[in-house]
Amino acid sequence: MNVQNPKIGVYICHCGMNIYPKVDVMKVAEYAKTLTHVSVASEYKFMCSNPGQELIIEDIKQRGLNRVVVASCSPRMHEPTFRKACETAGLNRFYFQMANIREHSSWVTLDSDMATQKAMELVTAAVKRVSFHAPLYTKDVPVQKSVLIIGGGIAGMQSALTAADAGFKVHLVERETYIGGHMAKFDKTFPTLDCAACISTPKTVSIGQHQDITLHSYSEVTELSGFVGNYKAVIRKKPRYINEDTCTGCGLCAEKCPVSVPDPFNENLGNRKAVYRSFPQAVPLTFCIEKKDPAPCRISCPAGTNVQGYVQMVKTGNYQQALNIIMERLPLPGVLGRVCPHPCETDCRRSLTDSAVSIRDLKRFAADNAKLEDVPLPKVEDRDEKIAVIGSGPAGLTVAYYLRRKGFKVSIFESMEKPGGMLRTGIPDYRLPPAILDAEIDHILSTGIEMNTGVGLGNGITLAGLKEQGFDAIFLGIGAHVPVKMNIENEDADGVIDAVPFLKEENLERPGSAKKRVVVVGGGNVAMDAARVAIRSGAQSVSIVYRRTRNEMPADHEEVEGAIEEGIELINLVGPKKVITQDGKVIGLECIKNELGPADDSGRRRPVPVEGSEFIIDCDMIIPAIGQRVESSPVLEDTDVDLTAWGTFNVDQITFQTSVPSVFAAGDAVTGPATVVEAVAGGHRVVRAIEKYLNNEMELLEDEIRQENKMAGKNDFLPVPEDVPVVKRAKTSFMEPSERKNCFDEVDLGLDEASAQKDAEKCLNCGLCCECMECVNACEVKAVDHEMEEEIIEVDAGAVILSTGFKTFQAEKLFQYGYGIYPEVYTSLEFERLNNATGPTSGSIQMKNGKTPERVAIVHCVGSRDSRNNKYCSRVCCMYSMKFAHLVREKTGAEVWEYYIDMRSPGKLYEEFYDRVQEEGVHFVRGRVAEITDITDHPEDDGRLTVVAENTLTMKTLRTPVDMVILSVGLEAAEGSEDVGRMAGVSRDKDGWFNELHAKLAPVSTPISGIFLAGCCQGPKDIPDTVAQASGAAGEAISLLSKGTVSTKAEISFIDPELCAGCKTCIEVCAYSAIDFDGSRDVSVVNETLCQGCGSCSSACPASAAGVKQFTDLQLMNELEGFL
Amino acid sequence: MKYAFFPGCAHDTSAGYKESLDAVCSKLDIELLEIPDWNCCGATITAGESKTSSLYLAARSFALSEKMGYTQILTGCNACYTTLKKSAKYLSSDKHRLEAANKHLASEGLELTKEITIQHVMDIIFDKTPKPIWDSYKNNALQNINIACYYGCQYTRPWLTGPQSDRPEYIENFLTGLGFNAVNHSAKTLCCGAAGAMPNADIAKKLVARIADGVKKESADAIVTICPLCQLNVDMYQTQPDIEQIPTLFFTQLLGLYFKIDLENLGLDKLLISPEPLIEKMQNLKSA
Repeated sequence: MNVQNPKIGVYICHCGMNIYPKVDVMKVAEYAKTLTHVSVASEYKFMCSNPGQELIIEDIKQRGLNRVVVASCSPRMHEPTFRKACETAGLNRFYFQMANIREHSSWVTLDSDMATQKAMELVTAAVKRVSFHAPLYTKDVPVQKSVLIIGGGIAGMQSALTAADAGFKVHLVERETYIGGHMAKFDKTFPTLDCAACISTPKTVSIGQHQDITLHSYSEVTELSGFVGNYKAVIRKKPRYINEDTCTGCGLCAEKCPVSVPDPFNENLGNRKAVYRSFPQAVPLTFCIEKKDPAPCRISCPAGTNVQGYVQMVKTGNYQQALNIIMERLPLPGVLGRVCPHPCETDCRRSLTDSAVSIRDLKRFAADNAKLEDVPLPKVEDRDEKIAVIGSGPAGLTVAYYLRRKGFKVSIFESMEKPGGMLRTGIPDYRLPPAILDAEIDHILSTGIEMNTGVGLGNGITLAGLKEQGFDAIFLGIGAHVPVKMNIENEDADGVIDAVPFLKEENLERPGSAKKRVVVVGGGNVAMDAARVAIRSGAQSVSIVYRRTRNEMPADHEEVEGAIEEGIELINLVGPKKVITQDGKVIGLECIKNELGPADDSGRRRPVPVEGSEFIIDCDMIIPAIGQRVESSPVLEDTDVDLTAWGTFNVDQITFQTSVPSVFAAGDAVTGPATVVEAVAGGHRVVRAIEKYLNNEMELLEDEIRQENKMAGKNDFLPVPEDVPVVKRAKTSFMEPSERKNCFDEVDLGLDEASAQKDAEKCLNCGLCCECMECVNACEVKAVDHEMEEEIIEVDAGAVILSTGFKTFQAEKLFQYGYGIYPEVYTSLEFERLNNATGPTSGSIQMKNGKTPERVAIVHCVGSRDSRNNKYCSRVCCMYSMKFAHLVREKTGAEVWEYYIDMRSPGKLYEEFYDRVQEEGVHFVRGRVAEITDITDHPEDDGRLTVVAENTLTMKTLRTPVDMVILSVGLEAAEGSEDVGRMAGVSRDKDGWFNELHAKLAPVSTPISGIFLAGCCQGPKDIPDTVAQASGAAGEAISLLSKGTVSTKAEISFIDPELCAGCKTCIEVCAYSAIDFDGSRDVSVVNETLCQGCGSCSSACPASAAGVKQFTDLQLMNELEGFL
Repeated sequence: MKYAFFPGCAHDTSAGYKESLDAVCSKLDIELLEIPDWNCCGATITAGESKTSSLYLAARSFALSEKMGYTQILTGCNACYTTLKKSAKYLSSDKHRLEAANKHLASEGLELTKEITIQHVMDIIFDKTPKPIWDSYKNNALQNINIACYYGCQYTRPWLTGPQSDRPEYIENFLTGLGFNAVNHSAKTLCCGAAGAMPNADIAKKLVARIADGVKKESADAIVTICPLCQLNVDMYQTQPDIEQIPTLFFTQLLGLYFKIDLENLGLDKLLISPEPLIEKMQNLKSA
């Protein structure tokens, strides 16, 4: 370091009258001369002026100065100026130090003596420090000749076109599906009233066509790294589910889309479809599908049926497509439409407002009104692998059908004479007519599945035998058909017949075997079925004995209701104790009364017998219905398959493989007695597992399932609208109890078409897009792709322009104006849409009742110039309010009242516009509106709103009845600008606007070199100002990049290799990835191109090996010493 | 529970407020202990004439309450509520004011030493009573009874901020919890004209007219008030010719009907607009 012979020149600036006379600059100069190493000290009126700089240059040259100190303003202003002067004189620019005696001294005190004193101290510190300065050098590095622009409103578009026309590549990123920002929503623009679309569409079209502009619409920048000239951005492109390259924008998809939702582009005044384009002239013209998380009904369906999809199809009368959607996941639509316990309805969010959609009944309606043979089958290649499905219940049929749809050869083996398993033997015909079951099974088989009836394990086939026959995989879906015993005395007496064989016999042969007085034991659906079948097959009286209360009964509510209606008696809180017999035949059931004790593992309260409460129910038939278990012995005969403690097959929870890898199992045989839909769900898992097994991809299965689980449960659904009307749940009609109890005809008659469609209309479309695939079918160019995923794109850019725009003030916050309470109170953006030719009323200014308003109030400064909200003036509201006034006058002739605080119309032709609107007869009232109410003083004004305000020019309170109120809401920084600011390192002011580097000297620059600002993100401004500023920002970017190189910083970190211990702490803390590790020397090394000199490494280094040039300990300690 | 109670000048003479409050309180096991020798709260005219004398008036009642061992005081009148609450705030936050007040009180041998809190008797009835008593009278059919709640101008302001100051929902939420249908309207916190009724009858009349107009829009079976001045003004205004009449009750009278308390104990006969249609509708409810 050149400290031996410092020769320092000190220059004190008057800054006109800014520093002098508050600071006695002559005294400071005289004092400076006395400091060590100072060879010259003088003062001058403007050191930054040419003569001022000449002073320095001359002294360096003539007197051989090798250090310079200037005491003047902030280094932010003129440090570069003086450094350059040093350089001109041949001195390294870093042999310079600046003392700020303006902001830090003259401006901040009224006391001249103290100001002078402090100025002297500041000069001392600078002089002490500068002795220890060393020469530093910058490097030129090449730049990326491209500009990244964040935000595609008019500012972003203007910057993009300016930069691209200058020959730079531009990446324009816009988070909406269209470019044009808020202006795209406007109809006219002030003060010339030219059409917003006419002046913005040429720009949007140019953007779309410009060869040097890459438009990333529906995308957001998620990461920004690098430095001036060499930024790197990560862009997340959200999936539109429609291919931008092929979509022609014809709109057939939207015509077919059944889902209608409030349209944010129209400020929710109108609706749009789930597949949409915000407005006809949008760029890009590509439509977009909006999806939320899968609807709760779809999630809660064990089989994963697309419930929302088929409900929408029922709504639009497209029953075949409804059935097609159901058949994607349910092979037995008519069966499930009748017997499913519909967990979907429990989770239906419509029940938050009135009642759940009658989903199961809608499924049945679709199944009953569409053709199975018209359900399309996927076109797949036949495969050679053979699969044996043992058992033809719901699990077996699911496995067979969906494996067949994938092209496999499937053979079913059914031990009974007819297929269907429990569906046929367990569910009574009055709930599930056999014709429905037959038709659906026939359809499944018609896809090319071989059915072998009368053949089962232990009855013609064995597992080993099937393998020998060449089956590559075997599915065990043998159900749980063996009754569980009651374990009471005389259980085997004549007259005790278990529910499963009883139902089987009645369902298959209908012998009318019920006796006169029947007692059914149990509280599940099987018990209800047995009781209701008993009454149909000749019983005079039927009682159901259940050990808990009706509330705890596991049977479906409607089944219990149905049983009671048919005259079946419920005897609750009673347990069976002993069968009473006479001559080996049943004559009664001895029971004991129960009380409910504490809850057991199932959460239900445990029944506790009451001692001595035994009693006898006279009967001649007892039907226990207390459970079933799996008959596994025929399987075990030749193959050793693991069982659980419950006697069910022990399968892997992911692969559904038994302990024998080629043998899979699901359904009741795995779960124990459960529902049809759970068996179908198990079937689906097996289908996936068998496919993976046969493709030798078993290891992928676990990842796939983990991925799915991760996706579920975010619960991001379409919000429930506030004004949902209460609609009664559609109810199916039932056969009269007196009639139905004598026959096995179907009890539930289903929905009629009108009530089915009305009920389907209740669906809230929680998932937004219902994935009915109507758009796929409608699209002629096959542009729709529901599998599309988000894309991550990385781009390089030399400069970045932030143009993220604004949002409008939330009018609800000023509750006294009644926005959200009174329908005729609008925000300015809502009015823009109301007045727009492509808006919800096609540009007709009308009230919600369709009438034209006769008197309209416009309230200025809503949320602006308000100490409780935003203190600032939003700059555009006075002008657009007058534009509204003009439009209302012109289109409707209505009287217009404008309530303003001050009129602000500075700008070219603005004041003239104000004059014009006054001449058009608009009433201007100077006064802030106090409240808007629906209370009127005169009966003839009933139904109108009253605007209460003081006219501060006449000192009178006005209560003006009006038909419509427009709130001129102010501007606020855009949603998410905080994140953009953090990402780009650009700070925001207290109101959230981005800080420019200097309001006057660098209005479009930021403190971060190479990042510029355009438009409202920097502060509220109108269209002319925005466009001008955007051109300016592009100009700055062009000027930065045209040279082709930028200088790296000289004040960067260094790591002393002698001291570095190689701990790599600095590498972890470096935000710029600017430190590498040199393995050969075991030390960390700073990459001088990447380092930004932030100093993190310096403060983190435990060995004090890292430091920042120009901020060395020696320099800082000496500077401090100067102050002390 | 026992509470110190500040009746205020309008309590005893109002149309059944005292009777119905007593009846409801005894049902809910609330004992209201009248502060002995209480005086004018200092509202309206006094406050307008002299802020300090208003403060001394309140301080005297506070000291009396403190003497009987209560630092929490209930009142049923909005004017008393706001005046006393303001005074309590001034006295507890400003030592000099408290000293000055105590100088005056000393002549009577009284002294205020503790911080006094003021509550509307409604707050205690709604928030501090056992739920099961209320639940045992719950009836779904009450949803056919449409009630417009009218708070007056001094209950919410200046004590609540935001939408709750203009469009409170406190009484509505409570009545809805009991099963009533509380109708929404824009007149909940308008001025009833009380203070001006004597000197500026015309202005007062205009103000009440707005309340009646605001409520009428929602076709209520009754207006429920929580202040004797509000009740008087709104009730009286509707006796003019050609005005649609809606019975205007004290909230305690409605609660009395809810609890099926004998009608003669609720002072309903003192109301100017007959509550007969409401009583009949409530008596004929089918329990659901």
